[in-house]
Amino acid sequence: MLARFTENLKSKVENFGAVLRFGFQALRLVATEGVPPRLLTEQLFECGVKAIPTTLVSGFFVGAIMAIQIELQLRNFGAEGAVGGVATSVTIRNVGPVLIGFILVGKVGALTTAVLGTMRVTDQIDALTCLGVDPIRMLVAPRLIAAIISCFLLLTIGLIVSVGGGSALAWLNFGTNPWHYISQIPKFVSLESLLTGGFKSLAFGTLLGSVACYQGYWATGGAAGVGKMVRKAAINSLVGIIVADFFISWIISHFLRGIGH
Amino acid sequence: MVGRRVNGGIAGLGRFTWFLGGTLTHLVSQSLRGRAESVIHHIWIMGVLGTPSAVLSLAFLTAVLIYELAFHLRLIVPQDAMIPSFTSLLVLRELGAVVTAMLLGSRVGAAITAEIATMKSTRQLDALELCGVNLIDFLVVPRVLGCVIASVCLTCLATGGALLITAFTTSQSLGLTPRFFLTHLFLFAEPGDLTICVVKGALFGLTIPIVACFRGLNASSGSEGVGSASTRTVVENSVLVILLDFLVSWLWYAI
Amino acid sequence: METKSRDFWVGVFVILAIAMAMLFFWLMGSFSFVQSNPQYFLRFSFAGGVEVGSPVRVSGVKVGRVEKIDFLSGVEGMDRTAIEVTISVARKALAVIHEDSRFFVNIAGIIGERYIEISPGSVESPVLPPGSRIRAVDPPRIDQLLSQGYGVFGRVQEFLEQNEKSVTSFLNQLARVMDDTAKVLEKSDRKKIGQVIDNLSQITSDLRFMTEKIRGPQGEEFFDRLMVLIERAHEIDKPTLKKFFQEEGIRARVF
Repeated sequence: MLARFTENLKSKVENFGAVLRFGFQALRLVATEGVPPRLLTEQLFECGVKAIPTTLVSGFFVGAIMAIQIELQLRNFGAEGAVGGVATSVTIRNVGPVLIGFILVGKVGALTTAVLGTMRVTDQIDALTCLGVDPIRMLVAPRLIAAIISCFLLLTIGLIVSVGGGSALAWLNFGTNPWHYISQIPKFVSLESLLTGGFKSLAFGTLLGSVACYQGYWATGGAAGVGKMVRKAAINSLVGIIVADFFISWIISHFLRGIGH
Repeated sequence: MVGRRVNGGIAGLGRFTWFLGGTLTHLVSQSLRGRAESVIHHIWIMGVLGTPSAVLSLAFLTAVLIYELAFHLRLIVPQDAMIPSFTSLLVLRELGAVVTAMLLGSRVGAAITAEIATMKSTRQLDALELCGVNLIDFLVVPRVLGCVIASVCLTCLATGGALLITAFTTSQSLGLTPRFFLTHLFLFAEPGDLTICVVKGALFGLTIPIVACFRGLNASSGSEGVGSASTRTVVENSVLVILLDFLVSWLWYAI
Repeated sequence: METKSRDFWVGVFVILAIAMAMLFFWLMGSFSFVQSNPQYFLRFSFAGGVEVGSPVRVSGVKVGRVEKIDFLSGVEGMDRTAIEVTISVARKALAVIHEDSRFFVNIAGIIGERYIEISPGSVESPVLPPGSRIRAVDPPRIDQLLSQGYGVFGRVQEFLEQNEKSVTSFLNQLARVMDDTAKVLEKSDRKKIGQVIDNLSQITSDLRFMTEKIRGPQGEEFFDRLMVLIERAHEIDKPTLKKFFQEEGIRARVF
């Protein structure tokens, strides 16, 4: 059984490698040949703009949840006055990107997988290849770039909204003045934290975009296959985000310590 | 256009409520005798198979949380001894349940929706109905039961496993021993926190299959329909998890 | 997968999860798997923030926890509603708690966690049996002390405000008197003052000589005679008195 487990692990790592390779292939194409702007805007709208309401709602509540918990913990020290700064700092560095990233896995990632998967299963991709068009350039690259840019922007918006959510909750439930809440932020949120949040947004976007495109592009098995691919893309993206979050935090805390403090 | 969307939304909500009501009634009223087989099957797929990824994912997340809390706590009190206690608080109260639910929602939710949507697409559902099988009874209830049990168990195992693993892996860098870590783990936690964790696990375990089945049953046909339904499940589940998590936390901790 | 094997693993899964949850509940002190610890019932009129689950320490060593907190009214010896705090104490610590032990609410360390501190009491005093009801020492109410302090300050301030004029004039006069005395002392001749003091001391020493004499045997005799005189004079009228005084005066050689 242990053998099966390690084999499983190996195949997962191989899978991940394939995803990364695929992603870089698409990105290299973009770098060398560029992307048709119209396609890009189309995709940006599909992934990005349509996901804004969901991001706003999720971001708001993620901020609220963290505000409750941080406030309760700070009460032990009598340091509730700092709730604005500490809650925002924790949310931006870690919890926010991960949880909002989860939402985006669904909104952006699953969508892309489904679309590409359906195209694959209905042989549209093969048709394009027959016509001499590079499907990766026409279909995958715009979507990947759109996914990366959308996730980055959406995550940033989500994090900003989470501050609003946190302050709203602090005001409604604990009577903290919103201005006071926000004024704590410069005290506790360092440049390092902001950079961490931003970088994670970018990384998560790339990750989930790559996984989504890969799974969709290589979908098999007809209608059922599409569903299966959506599932695989989602779960792999989620696990990937968590692992990436760990490594990014680790790297940044070890090598960039001292910046901003 | 907005009007039509709102209308569609309300109609959808109505359908969902009807579905929800039907499911709950069936859950409560129907006998469970013949169902053990299929419920166990679902617990197997949803729970047992998902355990390694859930435990490992939560372990990674907890490790990050420990470093983050260490970073922040050092700003206020330069005492690393508090870190295990505060970490376990956050994991128990929020993250354990939410992250497990997210993973479950994607893996299980999408699978259920895809499965049922495919069945609809290939007319299997119609065939079953013709044979006089109540779809809710046959399809939804076992999945709901299985998922609730699986979710609760998975949440417990993942939370516990993550805390245990991080106890051993991160103690060194904090300058503590694993023994210290473990004994101080629940210094500030109350039994209420653990109960909330389990309750959230059950709640999410309830909503994920219900939403997934609903989407599956209402999917349009063809691969596009399956894909879009699966996507909607994943999205709706993740947002729902966050909303419900906020609701429970707010009601329990802030009121 | 074989049905039996699958069922087995599902069973393991569920059992492990339940075991994990039980473990956590136990670690938080919800249950005790050993025989339940002996308890004491403490009466406070102010509990000072002690909570269920707060530790109980004897001489700084944790021996138990707070199990329950209730409100009681109409308790003898207490003029208002009492708080009854039920604490459990480990058996090994029972021997140190005597009838003259005192039960306080103390604050631990920086964070300010409240706990019950028991002073061991003297060895001669008998051991306090479990189940006893004890009147514990109420912790000081910092807010009351502060408000009393404020009250005193307030009153002093009021007094000063109302009597500002008289207080200022009193102070002014005092200042003037001191001033004048200083001036007088400055102006007047040091030598003269020295003389005055010398004369004073001379007079007092003379007086002392006289009083010494009066106290001595001669003085006593003189007083005795005087008394006799007065007695005799009592029975005589005026002219006789005149004659008497003359005669007696000649005899005493006063004239």
